[in-house]
Amino acid sequence: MMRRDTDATECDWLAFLYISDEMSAAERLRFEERLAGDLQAQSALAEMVGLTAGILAARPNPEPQARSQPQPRTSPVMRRKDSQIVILVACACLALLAAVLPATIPPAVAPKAVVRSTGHGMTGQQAGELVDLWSAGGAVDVSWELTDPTALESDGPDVLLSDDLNVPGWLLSAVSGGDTGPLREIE
Amino acid sequence: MAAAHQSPRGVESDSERAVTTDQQGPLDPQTAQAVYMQYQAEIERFLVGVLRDHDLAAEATQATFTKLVEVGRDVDPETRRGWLFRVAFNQGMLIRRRQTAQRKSYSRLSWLAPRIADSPERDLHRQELIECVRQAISELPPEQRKVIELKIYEEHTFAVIAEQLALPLGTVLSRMRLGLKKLSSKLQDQIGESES
Repeated sequence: MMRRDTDATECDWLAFLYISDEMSAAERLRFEERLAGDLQAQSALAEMVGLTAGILAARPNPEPQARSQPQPRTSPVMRRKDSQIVILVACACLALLAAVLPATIPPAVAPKAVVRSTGHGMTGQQAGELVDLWSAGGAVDVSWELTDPTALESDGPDVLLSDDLNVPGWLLSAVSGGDTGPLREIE
Repeated sequence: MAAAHQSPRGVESDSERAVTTDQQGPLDPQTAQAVYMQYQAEIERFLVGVLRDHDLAAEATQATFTKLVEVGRDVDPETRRGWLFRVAFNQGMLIRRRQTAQRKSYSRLSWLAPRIADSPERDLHRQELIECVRQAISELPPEQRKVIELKIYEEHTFAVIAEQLALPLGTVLSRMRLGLKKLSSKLQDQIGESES
């Protein structure tokens, strides 16, 4: 292994020129002919590869590795697709927020309920449930099929006019309504 | 008879055949393992130099030792190292011919950058080697160190280095050669033990 004579040194140098691509085509061919069967050239090449790799590994600043790692590249088409996906996700989030937000707002702030009215009024029981819901503080999203126009007149007012409940006017209007059209938004 | 001794890849030099045609047969596993442990790293470094690619070098190394196991029973232990180099070179040339169509440019040295160590033991050994190399480089005369850095780290050609340092090309080559010789003599043992 120890090759300290002149030939060995020459061989080491040729091996370095070979791996660093500093040989002409003819020199390269000649050296490769030696590599086919010359043990000195063979072991010189192995040694120079090890030495050069060791020097490379000992580089103080590890920039080469970071530089050699290919950065992910995106084509303009990919970037366009990415931005479209972001916009779609943002729209979906907004839609979800719009759907969920009314249910999370405290009723005292801005309760909104859409009452689908058929114009036939509601039963006393349904009106009572609506009032109970309101007094319990829950948000109301009611879509009732009001089938009995006379029911509200028969037993509804007793419930609706109770003094214990602080029922806003819009609720009373909604409960007793049915005259203003098929769909009313209660404010 | 000779046809029977062709390697599976169909490449066998005259010298290689001369060694193996007398009484070919498989090498016993223990000897094969010992030979592998002794020469694998050196053979693989050699093949990295020939192929400029760690993966291809590993492939050629594997093919070389496979051949040793298959037909290496009667290879003289005294000439075994040379036999391995010859077989390795043939395997390397075969792979290189196969790769010619898609061959990359090898004008830079970055292909020599060692791969990440794959075990704590190797990693430790690698760290020790790096410290030794750094120490050896720091002990070089500044003018030699500068040329080595420009050549190996910056990957400049000698002509560019000469121009950059405003020196004759011969001076740059001398400094590089002297620097490498010093590093080689200081680090030979560590490099010999290391994995490429």
